[in-house]
Amino acid sequence: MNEPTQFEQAHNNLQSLRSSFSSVVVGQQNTIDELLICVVAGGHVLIEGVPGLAKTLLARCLAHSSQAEHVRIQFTPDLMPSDIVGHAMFDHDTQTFTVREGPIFANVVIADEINRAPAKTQSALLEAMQEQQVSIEGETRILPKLFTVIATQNPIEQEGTYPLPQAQLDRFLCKVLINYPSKADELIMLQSITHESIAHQLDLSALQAVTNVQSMLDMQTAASFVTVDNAVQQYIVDIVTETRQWNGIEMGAGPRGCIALLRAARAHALLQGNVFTTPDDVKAMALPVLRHRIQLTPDLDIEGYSPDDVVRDLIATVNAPRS
Amino acid sequence: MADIEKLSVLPRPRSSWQAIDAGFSLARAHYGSLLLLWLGFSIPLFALTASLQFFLEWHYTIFVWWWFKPLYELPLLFFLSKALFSEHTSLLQAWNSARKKIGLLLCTYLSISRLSNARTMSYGVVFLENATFKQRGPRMSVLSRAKTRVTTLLLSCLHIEYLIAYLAILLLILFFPGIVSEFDISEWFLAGADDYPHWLLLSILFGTFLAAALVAPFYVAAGFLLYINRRMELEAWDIEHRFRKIGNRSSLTGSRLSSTVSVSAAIVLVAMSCASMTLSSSALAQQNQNQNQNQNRNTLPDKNQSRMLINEILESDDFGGEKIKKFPRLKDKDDEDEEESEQDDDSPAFEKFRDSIGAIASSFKIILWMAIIAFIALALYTAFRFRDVIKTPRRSPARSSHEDAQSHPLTTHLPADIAKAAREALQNDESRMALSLLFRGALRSVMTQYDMSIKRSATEADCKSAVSSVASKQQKQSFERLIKHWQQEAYANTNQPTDVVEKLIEEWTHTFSSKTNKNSSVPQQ
Repeated sequence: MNEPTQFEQAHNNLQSLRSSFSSVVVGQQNTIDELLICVVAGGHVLIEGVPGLAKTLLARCLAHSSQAEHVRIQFTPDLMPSDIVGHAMFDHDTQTFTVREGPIFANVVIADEINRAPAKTQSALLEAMQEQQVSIEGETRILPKLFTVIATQNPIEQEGTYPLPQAQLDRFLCKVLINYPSKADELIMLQSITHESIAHQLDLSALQAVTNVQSMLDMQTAASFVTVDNAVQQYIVDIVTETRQWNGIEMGAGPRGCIALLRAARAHALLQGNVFTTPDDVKAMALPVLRHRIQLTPDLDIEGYSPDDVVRDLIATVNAPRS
Repeated sequence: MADIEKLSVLPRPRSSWQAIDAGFSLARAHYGSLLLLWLGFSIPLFALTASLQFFLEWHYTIFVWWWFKPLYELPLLFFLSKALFSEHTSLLQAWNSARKKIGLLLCTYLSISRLSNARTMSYGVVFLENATFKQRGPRMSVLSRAKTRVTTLLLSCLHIEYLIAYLAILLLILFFPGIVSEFDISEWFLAGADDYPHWLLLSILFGTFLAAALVAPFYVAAGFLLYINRRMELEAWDIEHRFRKIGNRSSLTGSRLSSTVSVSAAIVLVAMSCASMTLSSSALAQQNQNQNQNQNRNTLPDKNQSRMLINEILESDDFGGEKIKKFPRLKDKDDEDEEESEQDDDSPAFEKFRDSIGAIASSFKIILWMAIIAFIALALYTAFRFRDVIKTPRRSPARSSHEDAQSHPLTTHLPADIAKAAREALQNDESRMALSLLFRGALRSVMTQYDMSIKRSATEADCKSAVSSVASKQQKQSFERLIKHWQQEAYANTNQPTDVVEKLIEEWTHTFSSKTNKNSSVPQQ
């Protein structure tokens, strides 16, 4: 993957994908970028936001644009693990047990409102997200390539939700926050959604398939070849280890946080068209990568600080690479 | 001392209900004057508070007007105090008397005592007896020792007042159906006050005023008579009244008798006071009977006869009898000791019960002490466990400070001649060092020239942004080019061509050299 043309192709495909989102999703450019970076980095994404901010639409856009086989699983309190990964069932014709694969066997799995399901069901994704495989009745089955989980969740303050366990959160490369659109964006969205439209269906007809699964895999490969200097690696380690020593953080990010930050920084560089990673790439991806991996102390929590505030302050104290 | 001979209400022992009834009778007798007196103060206040509607909500104006009710009632009190003793007082005199007491009224019934339920009863103590602040409390406690029914009077009058107010409003609705057709009466209690139509608000104000005006004379008079009734009972006005009558009748027959009866009446009066003023109406009946007998005999009693008469009265059942009254009082230590000594004589069963209760109490006492000790131990252990957290002040997540060219790690310890040092590094095949020197030198130059500061954690993008905001166009473009090559060299691990670096050194000399701070001379690796 040293060919500049392949890298440029990956960068161009990524930009096309980015542009195609804009035809359907109004505004939210930062959220779109973080989502794409996460996918290119080969990670899973957790999108958090209040209802009605196009979380599910973003996930569906990605699946459509990349022509990936996708499935949407609506997480509910009564959803069972076997409903996701699959189960063995008795076949009367053959008089044998056959495995029925669950909806998780797809390129893009949209886990909608993942925090509506209890921890038991959420944990069904653990093996799949980390190992890219699932075990059914003792048999290990490999998941398709480009297996990406795009989970959405409402803020945990809302009624009827279960906070994701820390082990589960750690599996997500990025936690992307989606905020309310600006006034101008909301007006554009209002006009485009309601124009010659029945109800408020998500119209994905304007979305073009600009890439495919293979191209997505190529992008992931290109990102993995982005150069990372030792100074930048040291910078990443400094930031992540600082989360473990920061006084306002109860539990800091683990080594998986380091790896995730490096992968995300590489993907960010690819999106910027750089074949190397700079401290700026690291800095840009620190928030989405670390915000769900740290746990604030109760006093900071009570005082109203968010993980984003703490990570920002933390980065401001870590010296950038020099010399 | 009031002249009880002029009392318009027969002085006799009365129950509170009878006293209230007497008050109502007194109010009926002078209703017109009392109503005018009440209106005299209330109408200006009503007009004033109604005008406040422009500034306040209507219910606030009603509240203000309601709060000043004692002011309207005060002239009635002065009028009734004279009328009770058959004295004529003009309305003007009553208003003047009330006006002089407004200061006192403000300190009492228009402030701290406004919500007193015994307001009308205690008016007499404050405004007629002129009792000082210290005297009022004991005086009122003496007056209130018997059941005075002032609260019942207050609640009754309040209910009647409300009834009249609502009836007045309903009357308006009945007589003006056209006005109220738009308003559903059932919504009266359901709708918020803000939703009331204007006519309803006006009628509420009018109805409230009318009801208060109609009820006030009765309320004040009844309260005043309750006060008088207690004084009659405590000061034995009825007995004095009887003896005065005897004395008056006797004076008609001769001065001798008069003096004798006066003396005897005074003695009896003292005796009566000492006997807690318990003379009942039967005693009065007996007394009257004796007097009538004397009158029928038409004989002039001499000194001995008078003494016999007194002795006869003193020997009657109403004197010398004992009446036991029980009052609750707090226990003192002597009583407790007495009880303990009594308990010592209790039965064995009770003693056993008492011992078992005592044992349980002792057990609880021990458990309580153990719980306290455990709690203290737990608190100490918790403090010990979290001693680090307690000792170390929590690092405030404050923003890192900005630093200038003299203190920022990127710009300190640079050689004096950056361009020369860069060339030397380039000659030694250290293009990374050369570009690093140029980058940091350019940054220091801009920071010094424009007195700019940047964060310690600033990255290349942060530096570029900071420089762009202050530097000249040429400096900005040059700095951007420099950063681009520096990043390629430093982070892409791509050695920049020598000629490119030399060109950058030249450009740097023209753009940043003259502005570079030459104080630093220690080169960094």
